[in-house]
Amino acid sequence: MNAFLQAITIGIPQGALYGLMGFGIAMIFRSAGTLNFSHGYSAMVSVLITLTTIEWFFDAGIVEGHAALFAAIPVGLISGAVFGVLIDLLLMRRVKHVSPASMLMITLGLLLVFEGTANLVWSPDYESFPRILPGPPFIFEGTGALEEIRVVFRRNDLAVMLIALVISLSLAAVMKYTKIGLAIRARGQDPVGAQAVGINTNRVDSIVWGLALLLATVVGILVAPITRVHPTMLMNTQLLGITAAVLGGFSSLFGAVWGGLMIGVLERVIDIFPALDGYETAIIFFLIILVLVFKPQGIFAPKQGRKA
Amino acid sequence: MLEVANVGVRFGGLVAVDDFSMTVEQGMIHALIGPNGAGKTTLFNSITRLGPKTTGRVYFKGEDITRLPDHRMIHKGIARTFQNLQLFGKMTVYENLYAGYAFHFGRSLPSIFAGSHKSFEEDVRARISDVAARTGIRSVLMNVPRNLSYGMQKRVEIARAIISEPEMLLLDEPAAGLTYQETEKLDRVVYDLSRNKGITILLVEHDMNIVMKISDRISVMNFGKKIAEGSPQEIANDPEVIRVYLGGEESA
Repeated sequence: MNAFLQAITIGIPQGALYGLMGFGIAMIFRSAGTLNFSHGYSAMVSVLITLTTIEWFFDAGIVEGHAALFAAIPVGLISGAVFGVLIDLLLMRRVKHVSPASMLMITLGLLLVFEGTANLVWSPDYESFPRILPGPPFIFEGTGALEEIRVVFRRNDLAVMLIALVISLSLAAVMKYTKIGLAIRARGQDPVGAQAVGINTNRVDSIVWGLALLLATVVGILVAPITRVHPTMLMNTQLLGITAAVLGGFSSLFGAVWGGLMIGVLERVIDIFPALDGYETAIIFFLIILVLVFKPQGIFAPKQGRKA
Repeated sequence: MLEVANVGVRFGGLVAVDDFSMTVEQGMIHALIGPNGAGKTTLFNSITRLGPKTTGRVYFKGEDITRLPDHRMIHKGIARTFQNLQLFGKMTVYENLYAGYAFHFGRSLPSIFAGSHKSFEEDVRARISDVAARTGIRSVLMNVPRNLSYGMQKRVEIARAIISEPEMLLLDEPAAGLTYQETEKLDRVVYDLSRNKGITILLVEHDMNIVMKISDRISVMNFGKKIAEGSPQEIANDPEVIRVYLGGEESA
């Protein structure tokens, strides 16, 4: 019982990060029409930029202590958005009407470019990264009948959950209530129709790429204290982010968030059983295969109406 | 209003449209007809530039729109519908119409945070109910398009096209795939838009009934060339058109 509660406590923030990663991946998939294999790797470079900026602030003595992190975060986020827009403008725009396969190959190539850049310009070493909320973990202990309960909650996870929640809610509001949200949805559902109502689909694609990679950078900054900073720091998060998007069905953006939460919790729950140790990823991917076979639209997809 | 000047389209060695010129006068319902493979849709797509690269020029109100990006067309006042429907499948009909108008609302975002939001919402609601009544889709505003009949979907697309009050509407085979009753409803809608809203209409159509009934002017195309142009009566009595459509001495 206690182990179960503990698994959920650690799993939810972890899953929220997979979810945000999956949200961005699903957004690019739906709107720009490709699966971005370089998603986590460009975010990794943005995290490295953030880290370098923190160090630079320290060395220059401009900002002291923990404030340097907050001063550097905007730089990292902007770099993420810039990467996204540049990928779209310089690479994707040239091939998107020609071949979906080329777009996929470009993202795979970018993965190698980003990883190589990180190794060359920075280093393959593991570097530590400051937490948003440093300090000792919260420990919840039950009393009386619940005496056995003792759940540890990492302080930084509080920041992770709050940030993930705020981002999800604001993204939902943007998608539903703003012109750009409407344009992104319309672009994803019918590009020709979108142009007919006056939407500049090229510009929408740039915005989607920028927004999705900015989001990935947020995930990278939140995950960095745990994984440390190194060229493959987001490999696992990206893989499980794609998985979250598949689980939620690429057709629903917020399905990816729920999918991510489920994967995060599942991963930790599987961890409880010693016999299954080391099989977490295998089990999760086996479940994905089941989802793809039996519910290819994703587990949250609405029942398909009859075709008129 | 719309002037097509010397437009030509080639697919490799095949000349689909050959030096075609045509002028659509303001306030008219102008139909473009021709037998299968005559190049109607190719010409239509080259006017709206969804098609392959063309020679020649297209002018709208004297302005050269040949190289205008697709998404700018509607901002110039030219709306269009598609032969195979390009509606937003996961939005309701209401949201489809909303999307048809939202991108004409100034330059600002109709966001929940903007002060202008309320008046925009009221404005758009009034417009949607007006256009929905005009096109007869009021009862299905809360449905998603795929649950509607094909004829209904066609009218939804017309509604989405006209909600921004364009000066010109391009209709690509609106009656294709419709039943007789659906076609009747549709031609009433098109006629009403022309006469009561003053929208100039260019119609590419196969169905001779609808064309003869509502058109003011007809251009007939065969093998990429214009073979006749005139009022419905003139066209109906044109020996060349009769030969092309009904088969003359050659094929008899």
